[in-house]
Amino acid sequence: MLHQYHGRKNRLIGKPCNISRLKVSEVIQLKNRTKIIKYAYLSLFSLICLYLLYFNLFESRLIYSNSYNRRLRESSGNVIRGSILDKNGEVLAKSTKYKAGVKRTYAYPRYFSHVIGYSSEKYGSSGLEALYNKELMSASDTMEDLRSKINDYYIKGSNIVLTMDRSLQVYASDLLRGKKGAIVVLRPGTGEILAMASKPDFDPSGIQNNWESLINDKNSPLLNRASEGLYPPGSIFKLVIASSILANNLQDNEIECTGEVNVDGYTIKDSEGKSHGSITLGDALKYSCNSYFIKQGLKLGNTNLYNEAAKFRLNKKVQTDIKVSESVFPSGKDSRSIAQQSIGQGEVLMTPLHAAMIAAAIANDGIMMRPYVVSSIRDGENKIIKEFKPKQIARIMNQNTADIITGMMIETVESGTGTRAKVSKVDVAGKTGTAEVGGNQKSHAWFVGFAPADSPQVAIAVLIENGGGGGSAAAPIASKVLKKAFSIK
Amino acid sequence: MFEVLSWSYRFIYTALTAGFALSCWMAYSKNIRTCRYISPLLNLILIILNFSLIAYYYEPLDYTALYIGVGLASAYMLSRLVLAKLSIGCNCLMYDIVYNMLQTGLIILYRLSPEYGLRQACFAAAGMLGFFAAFIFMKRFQIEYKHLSLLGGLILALLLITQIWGIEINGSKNWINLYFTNVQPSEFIKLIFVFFLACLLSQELSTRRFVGIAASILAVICFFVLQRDIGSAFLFFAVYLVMLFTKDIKGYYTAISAGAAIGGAFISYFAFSYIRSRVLAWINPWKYTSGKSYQITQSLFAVATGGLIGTGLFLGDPKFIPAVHTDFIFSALCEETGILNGISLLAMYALISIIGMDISSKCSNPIYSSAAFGLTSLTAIQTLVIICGVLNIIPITGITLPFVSYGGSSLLSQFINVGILCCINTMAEKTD
Repeated sequence: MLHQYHGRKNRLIGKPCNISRLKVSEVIQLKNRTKIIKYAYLSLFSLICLYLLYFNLFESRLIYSNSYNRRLRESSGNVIRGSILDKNGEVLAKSTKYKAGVKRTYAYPRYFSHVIGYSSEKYGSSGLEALYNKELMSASDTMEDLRSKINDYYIKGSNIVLTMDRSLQVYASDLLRGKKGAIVVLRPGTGEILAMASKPDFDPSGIQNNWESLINDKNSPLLNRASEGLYPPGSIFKLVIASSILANNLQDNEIECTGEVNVDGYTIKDSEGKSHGSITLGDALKYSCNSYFIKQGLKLGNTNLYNEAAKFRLNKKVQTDIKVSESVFPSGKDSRSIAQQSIGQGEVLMTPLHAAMIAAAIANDGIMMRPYVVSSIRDGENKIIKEFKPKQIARIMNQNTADIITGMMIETVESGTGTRAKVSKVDVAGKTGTAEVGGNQKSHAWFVGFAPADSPQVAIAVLIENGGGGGSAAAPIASKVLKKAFSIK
Repeated sequence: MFEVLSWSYRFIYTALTAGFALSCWMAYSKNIRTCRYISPLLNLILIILNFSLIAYYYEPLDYTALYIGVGLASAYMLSRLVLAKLSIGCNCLMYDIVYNMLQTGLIILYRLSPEYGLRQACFAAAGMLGFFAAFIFMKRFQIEYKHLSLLGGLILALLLITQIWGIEINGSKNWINLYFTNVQPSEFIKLIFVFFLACLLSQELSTRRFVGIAASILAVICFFVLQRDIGSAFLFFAVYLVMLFTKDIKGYYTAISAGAAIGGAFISYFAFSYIRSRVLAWINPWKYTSGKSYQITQSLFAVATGGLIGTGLFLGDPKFIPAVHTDFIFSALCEETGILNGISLLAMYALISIIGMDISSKCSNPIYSSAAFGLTSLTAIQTLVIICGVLNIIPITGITLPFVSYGGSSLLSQFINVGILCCINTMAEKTD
């Protein structure tokens, strides 16, 4: 074979004259270019491989559970979808096999419609039905899975146990009847979500028949207001500002409140134009004095406020196991917007879940816990396959700050704007919020708080859309829910 | 019963493919002799097992699948022996890798639709012939600088033919109807274009020359934009850019070209609605799930469903993805055979890119060195672009995954591409 090449050997070397004018160093430089590209390709391929692994670990679950994924079905092959249970083992959703196929039934369809979601052949799934589809649809034991395939019998998928309490959820939802709004109840120390009610709701078992009317309903019943609804926080945001004031040692400043503040030709009034006179932080929070927080907010400035909001996890993804929206704190452009943001208006948006997390963090000595609804995944014999432990998100304020704010929140419920949140024999710490929504619509009513104030067991956020004043519309509901929450373990 | 088989087979499949990729890498980087025998052996085992499984799926047994499997295996052994006689060095290794990709593609295609699988098998036969034809032709025919006008004329002619007689399929007007089949001239223009550029760049780079090169690339790209073949336009420009980079000492010309490309991308974003909709679908796929990002979200669902080892052949739903047999075949592969398998495949693409780059470094003839570089870049960039596209890392462009996607023209052109590379490799080794 070799002789074939001898005759043409010179052609392989080519005529090097054309690069003869280049210096030797330049020739080497050009040779290196090929190497650069070679390693560029190699690293790009490796990066894609890494991305694929990353995708599989961190992104695929959420993408897989998207309700547009047609692979999410009530049953497939020989698996019967697993059940969903509350924290006491009460069955909330289960599948049973009939001759014609598998049917999913919900024990408290409307009460858990947003958390559990729906699972439909035609319209896909939502909520936990979608997020935990893989677990619900597969046996815990791969050998069992294989055996059932060989012998062609039905197996049950894994069960999911929630942190939620059925009775509290039902009680909270009923308090919202006829209203639009949300209630979130958390355990401050662990982040367990005990109840998460959102109204209006829907019936997940009737999803097939009502689909069109549900998605066209202008009240958006499919939206989980508790974790995906974004609302102006109004005065409950003063808790965040208070933390910033304390962190920057501005709490000793007394501010003169005349009942209104003029910022760049724009007047913001206190509620009912009431003037509080010379006022301190404690009283300002207790009576929800706008003038105080606007003046202090302007003193703190955009950078401080923005950083404080970031510390409280606004503008950030909340780590949790359900679908949540990101709360928003825009960077203040001018003093007018800073003034509005200081009282939780002006494009500041928050989910009720986030509000509850902030209350819980204050209750938990300044440590924010990751909220979660799924406590464990279990097999048919109730053996734990996977357990989810409480996780810290971050410390958002130091313990001293948390104690001071707690004291002020107790005062607020004791004799401030939140007196209607009182529960007999228990100290409640809380903050009301009345968020203006513009137009001629009624304000959104907010209440966040926790109890008992000295050793907090539950934290709560109540939001009533267009409900009016926080102290009059939201606080009484919070009081009832807190009282009920003490009765559960 | 089939379910059980397929369910358990995915473990074996993943292991075999990973083993194959690993042994190819070892054979090349560590020069381990035994690996040179392991890779073809694994390849054969994979072909036999895969097609047996597919044949078993149908009841009664699907003999067509078996025939394809047997044909593929015997063609492999035969061509591998011939190649071993004809050439030296790492050519056989390259051939092994390419063949593995081919069989992976065939399996997925046959699983998606036996009709496509069968046709692709015919294309594969043509491709193998193309490989050897290119190999032998390049040995006999020497490309020199004086052929520049011939190459340029050929490109222009092919582009004009497409422009005039082209028919529109899937939104791109870049097909020619040859009565018995449709061909995509752009697939072959690629190869000629690389040699054309290699000739131009073999001379010292001056401003005047650069203007000439830039004008010709601009003309080619204009044709592609007219034919709404954005994938090719992008690919050509990227290959031009990296080829220029290796010859451009100061880097000015490359910088100017890159700047022009970014400018062009901006203009085309505003000028063409179909480009805009793809970019929008890329930036926020979940906003248009049932509209313009339907394809890409379906692709992501598929990859997310598969997990590390996949659902098993026939046990997933890759058919939910539109254009799954051409652009989105990688997603189908990930769904049914797993992400690990996708990674093995990527490792193989990385390896042939490296082999190609080494061939280019080895070769002392500037035209051939540059051509080897360009041909390798063609495969590498095409792979990167389409895989990043289906994973929504970049906007999706309609180009094929080399050796895996369905398509006669692209398969033939890619086989010819590797054939030429093998020939350049042989020549480079002989002169050492």
